[in-house]
Amino acid sequence: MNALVMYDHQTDTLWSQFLSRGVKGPLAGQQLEIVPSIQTTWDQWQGLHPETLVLDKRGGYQRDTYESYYRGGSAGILGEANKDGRLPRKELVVGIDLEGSAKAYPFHVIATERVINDTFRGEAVVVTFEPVSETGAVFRSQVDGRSLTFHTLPDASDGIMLMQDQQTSSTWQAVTGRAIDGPLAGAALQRLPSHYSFWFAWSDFHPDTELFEARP
Amino acid sequence: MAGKSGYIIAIGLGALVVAALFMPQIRQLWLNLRAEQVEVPLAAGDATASPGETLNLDIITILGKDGIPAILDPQFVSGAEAAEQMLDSERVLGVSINGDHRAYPLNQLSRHEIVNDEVGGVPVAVTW
Repeated sequence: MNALVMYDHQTDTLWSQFLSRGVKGPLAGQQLEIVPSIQTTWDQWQGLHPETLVLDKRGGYQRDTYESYYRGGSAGILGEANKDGRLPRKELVVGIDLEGSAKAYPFHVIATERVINDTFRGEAVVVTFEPVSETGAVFRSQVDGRSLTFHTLPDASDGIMLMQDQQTSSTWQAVTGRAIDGPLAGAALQRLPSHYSFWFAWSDFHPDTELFEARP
Repeated sequence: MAGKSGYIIAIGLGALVVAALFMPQIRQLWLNLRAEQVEVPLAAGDATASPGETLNLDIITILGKDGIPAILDPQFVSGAEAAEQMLDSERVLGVSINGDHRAYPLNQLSRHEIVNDEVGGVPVAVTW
């Protein structure tokens, strides 16, 4: 398995980033709570949250040291083979991981479908993906005990992807899960922890992961 | 004598070529020799775990503690102030808690890997 291990200053415990769990030291076995985050472009993030703060680079770097790694064929520091051949090792996936269950939605499917109404652990979820900024998120599709089914709306000029629910015809920001127009305006879907990662890393840490396949 | 040193040079060059050819394997062998095995108990909340089940991990130290310096005192600017240091297409990790929205440019996270911060009153570690 190839991923960051970090330590805390207070107890010197070693923590696995990908498992969000202590692996060695006094807090081994303890779980850190995952706060949902999104990976996107600056443009898209600023469009969604104009009041955002940004980490100051303090005159620092523009280039990403891993640029060639993102685009290249190598996978991890040990250069290990892809153990799970269901997808190419460097295919990107949006993955959900909740209480030991995991499911991955591959780029080639989400980039074309953009909004997927699905079930995960017996619960209705909606997976959204804005392909230009490669921004993905997963939400519970229930609001106030009512299950909603979503479909995409035509592209907006400002690049903020919108979707609509069939039940109330409210309009939602697909990436933030906020209703901005219609009967449910002001409501927010509950986000599930998901992240965007390479298949080799996802499947390595979640060997039993389900893989979403496009319906015929 | 001239013949003998010729051999030594040839053997030396040969060894260099072999080392260069098998560099990835040699590196992997060396890293595996330094690996430290740990058993991680699977969390109680794991639906798929049976009691007492563990996960075996190899921890390999490539860079020691603080080999990649984490950010301990992050400084922030507003979106407008950031215009001169951010490209539109630049990737960021965005976090929203209690109405506090923060963007962490991936090129900074690649350099530091961890930002210790507080967002919307909640202490968080942003890791990459």
